Amino acid sequence: MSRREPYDAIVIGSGISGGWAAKELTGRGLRTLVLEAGRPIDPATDYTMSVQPWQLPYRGRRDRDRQERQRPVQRHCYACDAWSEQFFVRDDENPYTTAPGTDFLWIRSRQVGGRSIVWGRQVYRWSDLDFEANARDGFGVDWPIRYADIEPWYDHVEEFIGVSGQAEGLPQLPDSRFLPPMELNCAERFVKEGIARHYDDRLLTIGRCAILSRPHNGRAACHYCGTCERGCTTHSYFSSLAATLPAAAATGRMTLRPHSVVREVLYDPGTGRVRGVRAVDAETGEELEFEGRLVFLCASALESARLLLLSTSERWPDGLANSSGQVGKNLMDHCMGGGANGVIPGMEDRWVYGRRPNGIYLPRFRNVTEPHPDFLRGYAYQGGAGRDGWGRGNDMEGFGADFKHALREPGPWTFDFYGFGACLPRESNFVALDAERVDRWGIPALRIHCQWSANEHAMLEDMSIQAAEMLEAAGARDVSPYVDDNPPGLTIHEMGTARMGRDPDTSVLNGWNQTWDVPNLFITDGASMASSANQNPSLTYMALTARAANHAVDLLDRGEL
Amino acid sequence: MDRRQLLRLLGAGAAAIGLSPADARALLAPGAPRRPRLAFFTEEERESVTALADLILPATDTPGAVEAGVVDYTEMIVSEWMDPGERERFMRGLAHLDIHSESLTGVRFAYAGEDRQTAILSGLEAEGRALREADPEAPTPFFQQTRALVLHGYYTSEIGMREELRYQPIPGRFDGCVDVTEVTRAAPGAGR
Repeated sequence: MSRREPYDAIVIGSGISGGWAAKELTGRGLRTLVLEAGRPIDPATDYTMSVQPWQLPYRGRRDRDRQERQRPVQRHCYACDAWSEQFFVRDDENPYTTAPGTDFLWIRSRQVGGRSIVWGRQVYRWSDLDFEANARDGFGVDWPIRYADIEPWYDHVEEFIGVSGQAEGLPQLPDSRFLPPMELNCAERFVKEGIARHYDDRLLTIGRCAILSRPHNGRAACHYCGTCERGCTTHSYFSSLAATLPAAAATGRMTLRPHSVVREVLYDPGTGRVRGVRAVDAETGEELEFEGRLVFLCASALESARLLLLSTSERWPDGLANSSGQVGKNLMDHCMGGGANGVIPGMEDRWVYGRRPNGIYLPRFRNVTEPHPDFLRGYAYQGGAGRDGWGRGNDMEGFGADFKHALREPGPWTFDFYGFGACLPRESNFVALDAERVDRWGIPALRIHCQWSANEHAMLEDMSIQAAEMLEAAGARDVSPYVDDNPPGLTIHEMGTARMGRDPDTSVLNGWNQTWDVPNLFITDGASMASSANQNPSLTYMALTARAANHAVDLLDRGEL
Repeated sequence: MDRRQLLRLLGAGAAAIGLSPADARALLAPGAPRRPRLAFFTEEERESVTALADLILPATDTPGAVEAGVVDYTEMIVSEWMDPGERERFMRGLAHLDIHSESLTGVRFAYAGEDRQTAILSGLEAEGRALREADPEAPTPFFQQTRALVLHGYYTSEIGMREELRYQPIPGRFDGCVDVTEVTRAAPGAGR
């Protein structure tokens, strides 16, 4: 690697946020160093898209003993399976602790591309209902921005990544710039019509996802193999590895260094600016230092907070850029898992062709126009319909030729609503450095204190009740409501640990994702979120990152950094 | 989809759907299912497992579980993947199967003949179902444990996926509501 220091910018993390920072900063002419803690990923050899079950040791069954030893936390994620577990960190190398009586599943990746290789790919815009939520009910601090500030950046991001979906014109869920929507299946159309007949405040639509329904920006359309989390060698879903990092590399101004575990952001008390970072080579243990005029923290909500807390100095005894005391506080994750399922009668001669990597979406309807008596804010459902395959044989009677031939045909149609709800920002949900645990590189680990509040519990209950009612109303049979007892973290939408705000005394970042305390330090991942809304957050991280990066370059151009 | 159809799809359309030659080669790679590291079953146990697999998913107009390698698969899962409790339950059930057969027929299960094997297995199934109904949390009874192994082993084998399920690795498009046909009937879950 040629050392051309100081770099114009250093980006820490190469996931969904870091990839966007790299693309925008290099696109505006900055020589940018991207530091990634994990290994490089080569889609041709690392992706398992083309691996069939019979080519795996246990035909796709997880190796339980190995997961228990190496990934006792990560294994809770559906995607951490026999095909894809290598895209998740080893917990034995990356420990964290939780406060007594609390539980938090921290699901993470360290690799070039970060979690964008295994993300859920669902993308939804926020609206002013979301940006005004804190101001309205008093939880957290008011966002310093509104929808109008971020709208052009949603456009900018969507035009690049490609988002398939159906425009619906809802005020609480603004439409994206859509590629053609994927089709609803027969049973989903049936439920959609049933809900439309019975409710005037609810609508079922196809999921909005960063998967190409037609070729876009040099990437191929989805081929509907259905298992995106194994990695897509045609780059049909968006990841930083597939799109933003190649764009950044094409400028000739990006230097990407994998295996670089950043352990400190270096502060220069003389200038009041950060001057670079200290890192350790993950493979050799070599201590590294890099200088840059601008630092973008895009390491994920918890890792970015950890890095600020690790970066102490005489000026910043409680962590860099932490004059507000809010670094690490206000941790949120979406509460998920209130829902219901049921059998959709009929349509036994109808089925689908292809495996659609996307489901349905039923946008928020609670606290949109009428206040709900039991909880603040709202939730939305994901889910969809399908027909059981051979696995239902385990619950059937019999064996033999007729049994085998019965399993050839798809089983009954079933439909599932699965809710995702907002989490209130509260100071009592926070992370701090653990005084005793260190990771494989000797870097202090995090101790996480996080619990759902009564508001999230009330919302989960309502998700379950409303899902069952809607299925009944639509004509489903055997409707079963449920509430999954998921600990925070498992939704993998952790955010809030270095929030934006209007006041330096109560927030870490201003309205441009710039730390109030250190002008050339920006944080644009989930840490920056002042509230959680209930929409999947990655699209907003991307838009905020692109907006912040362009603002930072504007400031540089004007000599204001 | 058989290999010839897949070749045709890939030959005509691989570039159009963005698949590289390496992807195409991987998708066409002949299956080389892993065999167990060590022989675990005795010859008698192997005969019993073969008979069970053949009864549960026999060869019909498509190959059955035995041809799809389910016996090797079962040996591998039982010896390498199961925890000690699961393994002990399965092996005890297998031993009991022969004792039960000998008491009823005078010969081991593998030699009892299809009618008597079917009767024995039906009895075990009913017994297992009653156990499960009485206590849903109880360990999976032998018949249900065995059938789950045979199903998974068969439907994740190359024969089970390609010939029985007509699994299409690269469908190339998505249609949300079509007739159930030989082409469309493969479950979306196949390949998971």
